[in-house]
Amino acid sequence: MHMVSRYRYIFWRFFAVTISLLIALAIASVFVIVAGSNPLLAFYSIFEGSLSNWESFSETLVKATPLIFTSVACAVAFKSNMFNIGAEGQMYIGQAVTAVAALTMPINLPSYLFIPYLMVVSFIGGAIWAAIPGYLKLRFGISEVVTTMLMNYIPIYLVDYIVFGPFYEKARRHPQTDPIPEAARLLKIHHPYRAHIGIFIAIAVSVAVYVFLWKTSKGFEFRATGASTTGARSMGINVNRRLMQAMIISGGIAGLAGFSIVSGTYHKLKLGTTGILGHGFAGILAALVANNHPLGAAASGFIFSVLMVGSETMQRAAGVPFPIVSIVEALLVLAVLLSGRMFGFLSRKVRI
Amino acid sequence: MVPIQETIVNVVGRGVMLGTVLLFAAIGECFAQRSGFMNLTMEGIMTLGASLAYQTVFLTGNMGLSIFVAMAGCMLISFIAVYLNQRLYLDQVVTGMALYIFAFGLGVFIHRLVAGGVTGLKFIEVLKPVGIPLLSSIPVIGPILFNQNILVYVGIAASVAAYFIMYRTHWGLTVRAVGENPKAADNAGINVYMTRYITAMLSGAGAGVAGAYLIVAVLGNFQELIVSGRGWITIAMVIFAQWNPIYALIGSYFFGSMESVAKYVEVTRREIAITGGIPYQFFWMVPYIASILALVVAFKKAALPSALFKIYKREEAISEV
Repeated sequence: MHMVSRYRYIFWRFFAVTISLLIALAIASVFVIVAGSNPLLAFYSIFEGSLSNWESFSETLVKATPLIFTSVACAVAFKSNMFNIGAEGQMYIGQAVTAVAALTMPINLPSYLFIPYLMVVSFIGGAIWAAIPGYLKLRFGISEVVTTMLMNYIPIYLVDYIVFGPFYEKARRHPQTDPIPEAARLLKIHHPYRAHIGIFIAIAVSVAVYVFLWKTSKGFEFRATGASTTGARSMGINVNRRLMQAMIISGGIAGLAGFSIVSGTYHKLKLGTTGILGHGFAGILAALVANNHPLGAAASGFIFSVLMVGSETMQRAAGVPFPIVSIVEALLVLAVLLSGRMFGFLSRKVRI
Repeated sequence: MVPIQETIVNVVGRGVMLGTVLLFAAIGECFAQRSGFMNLTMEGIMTLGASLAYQTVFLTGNMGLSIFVAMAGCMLISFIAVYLNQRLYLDQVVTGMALYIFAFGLGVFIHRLVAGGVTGLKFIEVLKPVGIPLLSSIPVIGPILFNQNILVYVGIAASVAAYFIMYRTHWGLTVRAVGENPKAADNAGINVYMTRYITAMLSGAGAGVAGAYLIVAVLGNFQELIVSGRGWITIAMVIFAQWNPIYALIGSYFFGSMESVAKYVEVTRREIAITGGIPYQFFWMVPYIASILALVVAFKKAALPSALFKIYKREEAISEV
């Protein structure tokens, strides 16, 4: 590619993305107007509610932590051409495993052993949950789209059983477990606020995934598999092995999202921690917006958590129901996808 | 009647009633998948349909109208999905996911805007069972199949009609041809895109009726998680039923009964010990696990429509000729 055409390429690519994002925003504004509010006020109150002071910023980080995990988890799988949309279920398994492992620990472990132990078991829990649909795909050819989605619903009942059954809290009032030991909790960043160091673990994981996928030869094999299975096979890559590993890594990272919720945010397992459309689903969209790049997925995961936290303020200040966030997230994905089409159209018209 | 028999009749009868939700969604999805388009927005548009139906009844009190409003909304989303996929060549799975969440969010958004609150403020009186004379007095089968609400009968009639359309009409053959070999179908003068638009919108219409049915016949109220995976179960069940609307009918009642059993165990768990101490939550998992097992069985036979998940690019297909 010539230098000149490269700059023109970047310009038109950027142009296409900008135009489609503006269209998405315009459609979102229509929904705000239908709700009887002013789009500028609504969008301003989103940022006011999520970033304007330390407390709200802390809440945004609390939301962002599991969301970055799940969006990076989705990105790993999507990049390798496994459409793992089961991050929600894998995260629930991670939550359940973390809580049970922390509550049944017979000895007093110090924090520097306890936390890694919980991370390992929640990773394994999520990985096993993702390996099942991976196996079904590779052994029988069953579309992982449907199986991973069906497997999202099973752990919800498992958590329900745990919090009402063997690990029902001693007070027997709310559907939740007793608090996990002090040593099993992630440190808070700044005392009165809930934000915890899980956010740094999440960012570290996304950087590690980036380095692995782009800077190692194994990672190249994952990306080659994702780009074309036939191409990868002809290069001598063991495609099935890579696909399975992608599912395991993806499920494990989604399991870590559950770990961060139990160990970092609530310090217990409880029902209904992730809202109507959980982090697993938002993570899918966040990864897609970032075109399955792990660093981008972390960034869009953060942006989505800004939207989610801010939407509650928006509901109060501007009277726009907060489920508009799901609509906006979906529109952003469609905008990014359509910008590719628009770019193709432009490149034929203006000869980039 | 002996108590145990009465219990079975009640539970299975309720299973048929609940299974009709899946049935309506499944009939349309049979056609969509057969023509090569998997409508993955199912879960979302069923939520949207339920929301639209609830709001319509909330505002006008008209149940018939609510079904049509739900159908219209779901058909629109399905059309967008098939258009993005077939004409703009975007990935079926990715657009399906985005529109699934879009439709879900839209349904909840509209609900908050119109009726307000987490659940609706008022309950709708759900449809009453209407017994068919003579048939409903047959022991066991009668109360299970012929003492149901009117929409259950509509569902049975629709699945029989769908079976004849699929296997006994020219258009049914068209749908199957488009799903197996779109290029050959195109060469035979069939409009591949139009066929897929129609089947996709048919699946949207079915999902709309299914969502509305949840409101007017099952719950009488809207909740955000009202569909709770039924859309995905439908997709799996349709594959297991080999895209045959009659098999889909049987599958729907089977899955509906599993749901009904779980509900029965949850409600009566203090009084009975028939489950052998298995917690009721595990019974709720059964439909999802069964769906996955059904997929394993279905995929072993491996008879998916060849063009499923594939985008038909007319320009390329024609230039190859």
